[in-house]
Amino acid sequence: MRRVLPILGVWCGLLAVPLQAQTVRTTGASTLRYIGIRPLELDSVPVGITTGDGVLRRTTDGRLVRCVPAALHCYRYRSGARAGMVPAVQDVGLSVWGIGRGMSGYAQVRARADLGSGSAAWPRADDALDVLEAYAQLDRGSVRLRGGRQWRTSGLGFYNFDGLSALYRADPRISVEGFAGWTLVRGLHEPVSTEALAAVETYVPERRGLLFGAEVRARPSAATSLTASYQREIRSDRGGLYGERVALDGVARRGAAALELELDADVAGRDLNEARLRLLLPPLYGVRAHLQARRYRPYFELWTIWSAFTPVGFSELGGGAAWRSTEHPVALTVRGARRAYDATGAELTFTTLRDAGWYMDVTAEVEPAPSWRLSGMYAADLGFGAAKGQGSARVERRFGTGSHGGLVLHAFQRSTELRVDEGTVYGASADGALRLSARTGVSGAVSFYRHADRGSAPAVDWSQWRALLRLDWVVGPEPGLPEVGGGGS
Amino acid sequence: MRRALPLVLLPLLVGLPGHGGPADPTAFPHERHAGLFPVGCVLCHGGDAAAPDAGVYPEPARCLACHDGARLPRTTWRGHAPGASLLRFDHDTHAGTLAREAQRATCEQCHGLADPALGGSSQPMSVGPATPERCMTCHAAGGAEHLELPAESCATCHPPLALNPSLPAGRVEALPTPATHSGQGWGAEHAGAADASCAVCHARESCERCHLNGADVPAVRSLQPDPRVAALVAGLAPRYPLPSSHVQADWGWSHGGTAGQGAASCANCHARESCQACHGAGRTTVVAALPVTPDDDARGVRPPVRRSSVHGADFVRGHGAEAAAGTARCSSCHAQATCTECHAGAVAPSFHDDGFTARHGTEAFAADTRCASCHSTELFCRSCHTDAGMAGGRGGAAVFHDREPFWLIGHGQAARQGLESCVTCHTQSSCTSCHSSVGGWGVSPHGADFDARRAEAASPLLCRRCHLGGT
Repeated sequence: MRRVLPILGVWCGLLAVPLQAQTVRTTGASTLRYIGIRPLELDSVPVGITTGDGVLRRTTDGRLVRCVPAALHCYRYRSGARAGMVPAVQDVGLSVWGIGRGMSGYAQVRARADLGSGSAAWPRADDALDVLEAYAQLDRGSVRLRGGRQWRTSGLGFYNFDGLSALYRADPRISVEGFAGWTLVRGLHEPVSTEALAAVETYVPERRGLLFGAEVRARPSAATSLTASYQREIRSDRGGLYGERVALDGVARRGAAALELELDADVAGRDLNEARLRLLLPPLYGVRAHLQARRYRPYFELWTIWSAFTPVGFSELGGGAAWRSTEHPVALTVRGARRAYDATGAELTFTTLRDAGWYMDVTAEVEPAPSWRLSGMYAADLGFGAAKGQGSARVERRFGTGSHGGLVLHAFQRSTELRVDEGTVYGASADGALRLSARTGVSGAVSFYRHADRGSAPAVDWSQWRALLRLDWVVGPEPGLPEVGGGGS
Repeated sequence: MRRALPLVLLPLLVGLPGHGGPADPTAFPHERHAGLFPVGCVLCHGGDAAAPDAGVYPEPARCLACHDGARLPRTTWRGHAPGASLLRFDHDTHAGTLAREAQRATCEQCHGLADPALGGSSQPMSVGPATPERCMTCHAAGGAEHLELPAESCATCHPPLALNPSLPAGRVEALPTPATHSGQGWGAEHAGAADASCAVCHARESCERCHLNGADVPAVRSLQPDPRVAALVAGLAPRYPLPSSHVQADWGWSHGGTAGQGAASCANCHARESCQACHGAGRTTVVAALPVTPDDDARGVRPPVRRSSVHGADFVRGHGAEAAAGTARCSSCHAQATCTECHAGAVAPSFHDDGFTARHGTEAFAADTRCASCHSTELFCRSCHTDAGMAGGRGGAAVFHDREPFWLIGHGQAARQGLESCVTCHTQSSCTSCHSSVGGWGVSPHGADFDARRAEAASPLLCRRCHLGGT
C-alpha cells in the first residue's frame, strides 16, 4: 500500500481541478476462468518391483522410474487428484481529460482473486490489486510530459515504471524522449525489492532500482523509420547495475517490400541479445513472402546470478509465405525456420542432447459464406528441450459485428526431450462472443482435453477442463469524438 | 411545319408503345382504310401548326363522318388519350433538327412496316410504332444495338422516370438493363458515368438501396424519389462490388492513406461499423466522419473480421519491429490497453491459442516470443510449474528430467542452451548449492567466454553471491 501512495497522490492532484471541466471514460474487463487439472506429484515405488539396472528402470507394469543407487525406493511422477483453479480478474481503465488544454490522466487497475478451493492456484492470484498504470499527462504542441506509473514500449520490451518522461517532437520526423524513475519488475508491477519476489527467490535485490533512459525516434522519409533506445538501471544506493541495455529498431519500405531490423544488446555484459533481420517481399501472384535471419541469446538482469552461467545463443534462418486469393475468401500461410545452438563447452559424449531444431506451421482459412469461416492449422516443432506436433480445425459463424460462435477440434502430440511424457491429447472447444450493445460485450469458451495415449508415462494425465467467461464494457465518451451507439453515460 | 407533319405519326398517337413490342390491338386499323386515304398520312395527322405534337391525332368527328351508325357502325372512339411515355420526343423539334442538317424524313421512315417483297419499302398505310431499332438507324453509328449504346446517351431520347408517373410499376420493373450495366467493374465504376441518363430508369431509392451516404452525394441527390422504385427495391438486399483497389494484397495495411484523403468515397459503402469491425473502439477522424447505420439497416459493407487482412498472419509474433520503430502508428487504431491485454500478463485470452499451456514448452525453448516480455519468470512461470508439480525441488527435479539417465552430470549443456527454461522451475539457490564456492561444491558454472572482471565491474554483488557469500 505504501508503494501505491505516490500514485494515489498523483490522482488526487489530478482530481483537484474543477470537476465540471472533466470528462471521464471508464473501460472494464471482468474475466472468470476455470482450469481443472491433475497436478503432478512425486511418487515412489519399492526398488524390488523394478526391472533392469542403472538409473532408469521400469516397473513390472512397464512404467519408467528413476532409481537412486543403493536406495530402497525408485521415484516417478504421477498425476494426483484433480484441482480446480478459478481465477477472477477485474481490469478497470480510466481516462480523464478536459481538465485543461493538453492535460489528461490515465489509469489501469487490476484486481485478482482465486475462487477455487484446490491445491493449485493461479499465478499471482494472491496479489489482490495491481496498478498497471496511473499517470498524468500534459501534451502541448511539441512537448509531452508524463508523471506517474507509465508504460514503455520500445525495442527493449514492454514494461512500466514509476517516474517522469518528457517527449520533445523536434519536427514531424524526429522526436526525443527522456525518462527516469523507479524500476518495476517486468510482469509484476512492483519494485525489484518487493517481498513477493523475496518469497520465491533466494537472492533478490534489497534495494530498489533507478531507471534512466532516452529514446530517439526518426522518420527520415515516409518509408523509413528508426528508433534507438538506451536505458540504465542501477541500485538505488549506486552499488551496482541491475541492467544496461540498448536497442535499435528500424523499418524501411520500398513499394510493397519492407526490411525490418531489431537489435537489442546488453551493454554491461557486452552481449548481443537479439538481432533480427526480416525482409518482406512484395506480393507476387498473391503470395506475400518473408525471409528472416535471427540471432538470439537470453538476457538476464544483473540482480540474478544467471548471466554468470554463460548461457549460449542460437542462430536461426527462416521464412514464410502468405497467400490470399483476390477473388475468393481463401488464405493460406506457411512458416518455418531452423535454428542451431552455439557450442556450450559442456557437451558430454554419452548424452545426446539436441543442439539444433526446426519448426514449421501451416494455416488455412476459407470463408464459404459471408458469415462462415473455416480454418485449420498444423504445426510441428522439433527442438532442444521439447518437441510437439499439433493440428486443429475450427468453424466459426459470425452474427453481426462483435458476435460469433465457434467450435474447435484439437489434437497434439508432444515429446519432451528432457523427460518422458509423450502422449497424444485430443481436445474440443466451443467459444462465442455476443455484442450486447455498442459498448458492452460478453464472450466465453469451454474446452476439454483428453490425454489419450500416454506413451511410457501412463501415470501422467494431462486431461483437463478449461472455461472462460469475460465481460467487456465502456462507460463515457471518446475524447474529441461524438457519441456512437447506445450505452455509456 | 409541313415537313414536320409527316413525322407526326401514330406511335405517339397510340401512346408510345413499348420497345419493339407488337402494335396496340386497339390502334387504328390503318391497312383496312388504305383505300380511303390515298393522299397519305397528313390528311388525318396534319396537326395544328400552332400546337406542335398536340394536334397530330384526328378529331373523333372525322371518324363519325362515316361511322355515324347509319352507313357504318358508329365509332365509340373519343379521341386520343395520352398514355405513359418512355420517350422524350417532339416531332417538331426532331423535324427542325433534321432540317438544320439538310435532311428530310418521311413518316414511313420511322413508322412504315417495311415489306421485303417491295424491296424494303412500305405498303401504303402499312404503318406501326417507331421501334428503338428504327431510331438506331440514325442515332447509332456503326449499327449498335439500342441497349449497347453508352449509358450517358439514354437521356437523349428518354425522360426521367420521376417525370413519368403514369408508367405502371410493372413496366418500371421490366425496364431492360443496358449492356454497360452488366459489364465487369460497372458496380465499382458507375460513379464516373453518373449523369442525367441515370434518371431515365432510376430514382433516388435505387441508389440509396446501397449508398449509405446518398443524401451527401450530388448524383444521388439530383434524382427524384419515386414510390414505384421504393417499392421495388424495398425487398432487395444491397449489393456491394469489390473495387479493384481493395483486392490488392496490402490493401488492409495501406488503406489508411486513401481513407485519410477523405471519408466521402469510403462512405459510399461503409458505415462506422465497417471500420469498427477491425479498428474496434479506437476511431480515427475518418471513421468518425462515416455515417452510422441502425442495427436493422442491412446497408453497409460488413467486412469479415480478419486480422490477417491488415497485419498479416504472422503479425502478432513479429510486430515488435513495427511497434518499436514507430512506423506503424499503432495508436491510430489501438489504445494502450490493446498492448496491456497481452503484455501485462495475467489474462491473455487472445494471444495464446487454445491449449497453449499444455504445449508451450517448445515455444519457450525456441524463444520465438519471449515469455519474459509479459510474464514474471519467478512469479508467473515458476508459480504455475510449482503448482503443477513440475518444480518439485531438488530431488523431484532430478526425477522430472527422467529422459536423461545421467541428468545431473550432463545437465550443463541443457542449462547453457536453455537457461531461461531452467529458471522457470529452479531458484538461484537450486544451482548455487553446487555452483558456489561458499556453501556449495564449488563447481564453476562459467563458460569459456565468461569475463569475470567485466561482471564484477557491472555488479560486484553478482560475484559475491557465490564467491563471498554476499547478499
